[in-house]
Amino acid sequence: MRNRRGLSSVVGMVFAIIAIVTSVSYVTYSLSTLDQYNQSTLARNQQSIDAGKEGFQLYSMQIPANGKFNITIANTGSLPINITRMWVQNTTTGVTDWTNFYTINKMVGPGSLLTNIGQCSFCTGAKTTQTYNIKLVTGRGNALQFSVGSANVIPLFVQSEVFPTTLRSKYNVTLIYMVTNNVTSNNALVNLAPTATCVPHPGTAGISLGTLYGPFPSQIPSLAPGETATFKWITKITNSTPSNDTQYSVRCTAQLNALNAAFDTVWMAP
Amino acid sequence: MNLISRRRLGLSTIVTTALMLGAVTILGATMVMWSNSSLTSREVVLGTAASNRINTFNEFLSIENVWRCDGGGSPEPCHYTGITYPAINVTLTNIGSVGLNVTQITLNATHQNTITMKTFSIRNIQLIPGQYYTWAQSYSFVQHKVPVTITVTTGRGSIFTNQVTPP
Repeated sequence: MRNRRGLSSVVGMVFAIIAIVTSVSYVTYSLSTLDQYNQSTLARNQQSIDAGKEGFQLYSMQIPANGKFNITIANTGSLPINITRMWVQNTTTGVTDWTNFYTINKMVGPGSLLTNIGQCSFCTGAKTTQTYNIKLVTGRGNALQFSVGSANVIPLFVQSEVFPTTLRSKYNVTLIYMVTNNVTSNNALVNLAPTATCVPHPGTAGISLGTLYGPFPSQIPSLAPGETATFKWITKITNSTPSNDTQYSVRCTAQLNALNAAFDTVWMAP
Repeated sequence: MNLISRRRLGLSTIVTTALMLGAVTILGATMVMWSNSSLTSREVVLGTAASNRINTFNEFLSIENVWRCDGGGSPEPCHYTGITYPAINVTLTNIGSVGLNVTQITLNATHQNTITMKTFSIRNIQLIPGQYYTWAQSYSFVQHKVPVTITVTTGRGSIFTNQVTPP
């Protein structure tokens, strides 16, 4: 009887072991699956956090003579950034609206600059007389969008000042022209090269104008949003007729174009 | 007599024991087979559900760029040549860690309580991680300055949206 009881116990034990092993393996599998799920959730969260930590700004923007964009960005975030693509949309009024993209795939570390974006061999077609909407895309899906515009088509905040404002006989006159990029659409202006003229008013009676030297600097390649560029001209105005009084003047006008012209007046003193 | 009695008792005990053992074996084997089958199917269900959830979690689609084209010009403004103008172009990039399949794109413009929604079923836009694709479709914007919400649905049911405003 003892032997027979042992046999049934062994049989029962075998089933019990099978049941326990099956249960343990199921629980282990479930926990493993749950762990994978947690790891996946953590990885996804980390990806979102990393995307939020990306930060980069436009540092400078030019369209040099080779007809290609030359963009520099600064990595202001805490993670390396991979600039994958540059999208360019021509937004010039009267020109067929086209969109194109260029593969960049360049890395930039935190606190560093990435230069020469848009200088690739096939990145052509940039003209200083036209306006573009540019979008830089990162590998994590973030984007920096800005406009590049010719000042010829955008009204800007411009000022002109002459020094001195009152002239007795002969004086060197300085004309200052200030252009502020107040465009609200994150628009960088490129290749600013203003011109200036000085004209006596109401006539030239006794007033002679020397050569207008300038502008200094002759050109500013890029003006970022919010920045102000200052240009200077120098000329010599001679008032040889002392009877010319305050009704006579010289009007000096500086402009990027007719849309962005500003003038100031030098008054003749008796 | 004693010998005969012992033999009878022994036979019935053996038979009973054999029956019990057989019953226990059959019941035990049935139970083990049932539980094993049940747990295996549960494991499959659990594994499939977890895998789907994990893959869905890891899906990360970026609506990288959206632009419209009216035709003409050089370079060709639309992604596809020969498309009926005006059209919309949507560039999608898979920035996640698993491949995905775009099944549907919806363009929804709401203007003065009027909702203009167009849904397009997509086939064969399969994006591996890092890959991008530009989808072009004939589409007239309702009105300038009226935003259009773009909703992209993947095969696993993930939804990604972006909003654009025509100039």
